[in-house]
Amino acid sequence: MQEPLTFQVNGKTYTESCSPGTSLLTLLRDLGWVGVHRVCESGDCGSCTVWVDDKPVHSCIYPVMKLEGHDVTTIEGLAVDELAPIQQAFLEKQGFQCGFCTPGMIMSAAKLQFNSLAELRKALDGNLCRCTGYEAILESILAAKEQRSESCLMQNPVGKSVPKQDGSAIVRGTANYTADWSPPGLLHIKVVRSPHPHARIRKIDTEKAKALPGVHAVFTYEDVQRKPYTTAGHADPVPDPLDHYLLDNKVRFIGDRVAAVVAESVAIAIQASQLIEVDYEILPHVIDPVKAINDCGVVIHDEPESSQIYDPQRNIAAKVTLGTHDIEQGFAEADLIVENTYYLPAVQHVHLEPHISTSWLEADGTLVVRSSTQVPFHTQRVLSQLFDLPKDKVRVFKTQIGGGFGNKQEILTEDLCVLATLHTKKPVQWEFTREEEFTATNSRHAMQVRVRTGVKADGTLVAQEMEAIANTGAYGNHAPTVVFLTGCYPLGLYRCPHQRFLGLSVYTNTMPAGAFRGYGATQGTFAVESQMDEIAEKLGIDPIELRQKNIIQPHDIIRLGREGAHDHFHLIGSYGVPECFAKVTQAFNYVPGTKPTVNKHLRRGVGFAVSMQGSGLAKIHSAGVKLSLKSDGKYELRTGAIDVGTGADTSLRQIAAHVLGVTVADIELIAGDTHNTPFDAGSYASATTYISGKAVNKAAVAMRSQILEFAAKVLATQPENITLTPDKAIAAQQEITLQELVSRNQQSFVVEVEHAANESSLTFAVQGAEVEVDTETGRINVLRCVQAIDVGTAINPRICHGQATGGIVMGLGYALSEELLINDSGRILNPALRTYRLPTAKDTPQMEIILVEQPDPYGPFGAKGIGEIGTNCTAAAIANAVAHATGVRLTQIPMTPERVWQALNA
Amino acid sequence: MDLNNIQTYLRPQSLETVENWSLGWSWLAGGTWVFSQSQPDLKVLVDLEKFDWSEIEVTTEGLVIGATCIMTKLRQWNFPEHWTGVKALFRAVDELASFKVTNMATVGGNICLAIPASTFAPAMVALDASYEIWHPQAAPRFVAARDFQIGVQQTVLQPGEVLRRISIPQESLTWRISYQRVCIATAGIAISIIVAACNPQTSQVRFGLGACVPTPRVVEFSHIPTLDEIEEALNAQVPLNDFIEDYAASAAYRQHITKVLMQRSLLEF
Repeated sequence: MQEPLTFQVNGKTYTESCSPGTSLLTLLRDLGWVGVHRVCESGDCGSCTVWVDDKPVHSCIYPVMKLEGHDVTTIEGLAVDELAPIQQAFLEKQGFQCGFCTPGMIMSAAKLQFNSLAELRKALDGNLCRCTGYEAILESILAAKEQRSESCLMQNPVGKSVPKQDGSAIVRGTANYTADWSPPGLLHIKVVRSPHPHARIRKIDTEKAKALPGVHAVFTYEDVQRKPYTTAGHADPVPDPLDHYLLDNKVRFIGDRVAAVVAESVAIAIQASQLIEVDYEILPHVIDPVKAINDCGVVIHDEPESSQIYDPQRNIAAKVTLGTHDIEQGFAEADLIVENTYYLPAVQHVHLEPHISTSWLEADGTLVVRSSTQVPFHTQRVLSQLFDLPKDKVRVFKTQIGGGFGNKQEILTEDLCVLATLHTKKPVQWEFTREEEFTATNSRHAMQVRVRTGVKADGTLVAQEMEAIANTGAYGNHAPTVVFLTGCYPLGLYRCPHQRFLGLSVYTNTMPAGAFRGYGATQGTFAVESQMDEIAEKLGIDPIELRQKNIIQPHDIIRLGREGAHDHFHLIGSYGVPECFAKVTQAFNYVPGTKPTVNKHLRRGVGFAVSMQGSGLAKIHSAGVKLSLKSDGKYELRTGAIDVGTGADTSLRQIAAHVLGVTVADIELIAGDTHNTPFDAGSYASATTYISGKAVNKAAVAMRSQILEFAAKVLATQPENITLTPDKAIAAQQEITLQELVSRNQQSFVVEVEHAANESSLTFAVQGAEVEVDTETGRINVLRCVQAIDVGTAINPRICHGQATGGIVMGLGYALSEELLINDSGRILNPALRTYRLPTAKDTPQMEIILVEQPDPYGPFGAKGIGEIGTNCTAAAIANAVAHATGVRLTQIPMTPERVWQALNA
Repeated sequence: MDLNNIQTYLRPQSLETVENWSLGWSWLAGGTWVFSQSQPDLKVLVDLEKFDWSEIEVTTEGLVIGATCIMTKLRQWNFPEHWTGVKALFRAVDELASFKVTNMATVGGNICLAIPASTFAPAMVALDASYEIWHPQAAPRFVAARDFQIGVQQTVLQPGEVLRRISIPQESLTWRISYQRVCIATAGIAISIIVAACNPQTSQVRFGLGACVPTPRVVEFSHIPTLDEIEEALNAQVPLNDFIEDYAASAAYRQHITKVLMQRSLLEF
């Protein structure tokens, strides 16, 4: 300890002693200023921005020992009585989704100097957002000078851009994320991670670690029951291989869990973990999935306890075959056959809030887990199985979530927290570092996808064959289901009489792949949509026309993926595809056959792609809702649904409010808590609006009937004669308040609904992109993106818009710069935000989103899923635009400047 | 991030009081790099702040920048209008990172860090700067910017030595500047930086090459070169083997892009 430091935070004077290597970020959070968010810890993302003597700095790289005599302002100190103008502007323009970047964004924006939009984009280099695509943020900053106010109290809110109801807390820095509260006496976990890609553990010596003062426990494989499970959060029975263990005597990738230290501080836990001595028997390893299936002498899952693995000897975690087997007959009819292989990288979600959970025991013995999870109910089930606890003794709940994108449809932190809490009887927290996020969670599956298409001279597709080899990494979480979607959606999009798909998810000694927005369809879409343009070029047919000629039609049945009688399936509800094509081509003033524009070394072109994605999972994805009318005349909506930051909670409240004739403010929402809300499968597969929203819709309709029927009895009339207003039931001559109704009702006004969709209605999107390629450097500059989404009904257009812009920019990173690079051992070479390049505000093109609204017959108010589709077609549209601009086709993403340059000079 | 292995943080009032420099000690200026990644080998940080070496001096001989001058201060300084050469310094600040980093990061810190992608190193060699090096118990010495860096994160600084100030001759400051930088994305760690300085009187051109090679290099011409002359000089003086080959880019691409940037620099003269 050093001499104490005296300083001020938000006007309050502190005198504190700190460890000499502490960052200002940690000090501020320890002092309770938790609006300062921990994300990258390297000064790259801006989420921890505060002012020191009015100058904005990244608090994560500010040495706390420099703080003596200085004055710090955090987001909590920005609003004195009312919101600062910049906070007000972010609230009005909704410059946030999950809100995790927002405090830092606001503290930066308040001090920005810029004279143009381009300068503003450049000035935002040090602030990363993964949700919004920056558009709403730029609008907020530009609007900060002009003040307007919008009423949030909208009647009939469905179809209106109701502000996200957590906005006020987000802009004030008071939104309560998982790390922002913990019980007293908290212990912390650090895990020893494998330095080897494949090894058996001969011996672990934990004595020195255990002897370190402040260490409460150390766990290795010898301390846990050997029960195979999957980290994937899926409904029971899970489709995934059961191949993961709490702690194992074998490690399967660099970063795999070896031992867990539980200590009084993170620093002590780290120190103790460095004292653990592990004797490894190094095993041969394989990082290439093609080698892994071809008798390479490496068997990654040779343990007898694991199950549901398709072929452990050949490292095949899962195999999916779809379609007809007379494919060659189709090719025999073809006038042209095109074949190509496409290479898709592993990319990371980079949700700004890391994985984190805190567990503790209540006095009655209930185990509580507060976690940043997309799947609290699946987590509860898995924990109860792993630790032999009755489900009702395990409570899992979430608070505000700072993004997930699929990586939190995974049980990664909760299991060891619970192990530690059950052993120590104390509260335990495990928060991942950014490096752990990059090296020890999940990626999107890297894939190589071979596509072969047979086509008639007039452009009619007669045969499509696809073979996808996916690298699922060391564990098979999501292995079968991701490759299923790689074939199912991109091929299912076209009416082609002969289609065949083979998908293999292959184990390698690399970080596991898992669920990621788009879920396999993203990879397949790049392959098929690239090939459609290649075919169009060879046949001399316009690529839009070729797609329109072959795309599925409203009454078509999607047979692919529906071979088994019990398979959940997709169908076409509403169909706005022609309008999507029309709107996008109009936006570009697209004239078929237009040549690229050439200006010396700069070449401009346009390209298009189309995609489809289901709305939730039919039959197996269920959502429960409990809706009550309370004694104060307001409604309480309990749902197990999870808002990962998208605004889904607001959309659900809009649906209920619309049916009940109130505003969203009249619907109190309690969500995502296994002990206090009904079951919901969770937030994945673009399901929340479509499935949980439908459950809310049904519950609200039933509640409305219940109120009207009871009011009719009280008012001695028929229900149809009664008008329900926000606070009264009104008949022709008389009226009664809702409070009065509640007090007169012997029973409570409560409706419980469980809903599972019988069918998953398909959402479509068409995207166009205009690019400029510098043929000397190979750099692609995306100038413009236009995306039309066949969304059914937009329950909240602004939220839908945000899903689209965020999805496009995520697709932009996939197309141009993002890739987890590995060496020969599978070690990730760029596990930091400085080297793994997310799009910044400067990289985002002009974006235009068109919501094509044709109500769907199945979704609530006609709504369909929108969470994932926006990501799928961006990379293909850009690749097609590059091909148009340069005549060169790139079959590997990201299309880095070097790859483009190589392709141009091949 | 928290550097849990740091045991001592010294804030000396003067350089002379720094004694017993040992393995595991490091100078700390702004801290923006030291705290941006784990530093498993460090035990003691010695903060330079109290020395107050942050001066900016404009004299008839040229420009002097104190080693701990905060980048934002340099960026906002009002220099004589005919000092076109300061554009190289301004761009080195703008291209480094966010304005929140340059609010803390120091000019000397970036130079002494000596990573290939340093935004200042190629600017300093293009401006023909020289560095004054101090030691708590020894006399000052001077090193030309082009001789300072000897490898990736390796400089001529001996244990306990520290950069005191940077001097840029008046003549270079009147040269015209082109600053070109390429990354894999639009921001991040550069794979090539070219700072070209051109004497408006003599048309003499000096290229500072950074990020594409482990240490900054100089390629000079007595006149504005033709495209072919650039290619010839580059091939002769910086062969392919000298370019960095890593996961971010191949040596061949770095060589190519460096040539393109050098050629494009000429468009600004």
